[in-house]
Amino acid sequence: MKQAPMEDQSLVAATLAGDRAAFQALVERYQARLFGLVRHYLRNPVEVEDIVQETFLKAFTRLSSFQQSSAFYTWLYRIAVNTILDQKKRKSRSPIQPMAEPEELGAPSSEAIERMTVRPEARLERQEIADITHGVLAELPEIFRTVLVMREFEGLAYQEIADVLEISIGTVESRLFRARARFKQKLLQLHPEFALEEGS
Amino acid sequence: MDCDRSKALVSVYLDGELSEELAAPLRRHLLDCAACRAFRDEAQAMSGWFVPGPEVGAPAGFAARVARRAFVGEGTASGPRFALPSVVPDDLRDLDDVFVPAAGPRVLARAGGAERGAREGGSLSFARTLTAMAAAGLFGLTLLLANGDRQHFDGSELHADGRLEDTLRSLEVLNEKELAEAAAKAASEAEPTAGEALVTPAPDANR
Repeated sequence: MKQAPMEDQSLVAATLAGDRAAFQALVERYQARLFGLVRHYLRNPVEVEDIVQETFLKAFTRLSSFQQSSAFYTWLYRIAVNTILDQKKRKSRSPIQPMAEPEELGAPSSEAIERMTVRPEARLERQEIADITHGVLAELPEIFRTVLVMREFEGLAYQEIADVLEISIGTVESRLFRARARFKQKLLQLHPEFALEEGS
Repeated sequence: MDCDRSKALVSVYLDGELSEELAAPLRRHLLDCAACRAFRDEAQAMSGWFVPGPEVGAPAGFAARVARRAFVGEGTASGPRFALPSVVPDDLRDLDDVFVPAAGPRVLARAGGAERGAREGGSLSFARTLTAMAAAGLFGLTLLLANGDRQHFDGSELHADGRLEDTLRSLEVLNEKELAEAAAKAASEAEPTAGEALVTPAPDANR
């Protein structure tokens, strides 16, 4: 994530000076990661491309407000996540769930669920596993899905998640804990065939 | 360390985010507690669900298109200056048209249609220039006409009323003069008759 922060900063400075090629280089550098991120939220390829493009254009317009002390990708990631959530909010009839005190949603997993082992069967193809996971993630509140995607798919460190979501590391820990429990609960609900009693 | 604390820390530990200060007692607890080891194993198994899907690359030319859209209408020396509006009506957003940051006008170019958008932008620019020139011409013509009219209606330059008044007065004077002359002529024509009457008896006196 912090592969070449100085180079990012140089490209940002050059873009601010009017260098189109510098901005194109920034887009080329991070486009794959953003496409990977957005497709966790949207399945339609056209929508994914629109969101990634909108993210970069927003980043361009706000580039002068970018704090050089933070990682460019973290900043870009935050814009992307907000753009995704904004898009989902626009498309949804009901208000998006993250606005409702996520830390007070409570631990969903009962002891019974805790005792269950839910591991992907060896026979499943990689794509099948990915499809199941996406189906489960789609059922989770946005706030939980976001931290799971950031951690499990994007590999963001806790501090980076905290920076993107502008929350404390302690909140990241507890939110991830609850998100994983929710994921397991929903997985068992949607795919009980994968449930195994502990020790079986 | 008790089991509740252990379970709370296991996922953080597996994520590699636990400080050594807490990781050491956790490891010791896991060695002694089978239930917590099972919990840890289950947490590890869960990570098997989060497998990356197939790589989704950006479409060819995506970066160039985005950069062109960002800089469209920009000169070479200027950078990003325009901020997106904080609120864009939903109906516009649904059309997937976003404000082109540096260009001012909106360009209705969806992803993949940026080339067309650029061409439309060129035609639009030409049409805009023509319209501006026509508007400037009309404005100038309007000013000229207004200036011409002002000669008739501006109080300082409007002499029609004054001339008319003078003319009427002149006509009145002329009329009075003509009337006076006519009266004088009539009077002068009437005087010889009276003289003749006065002179007429004179021959009688010669007689």
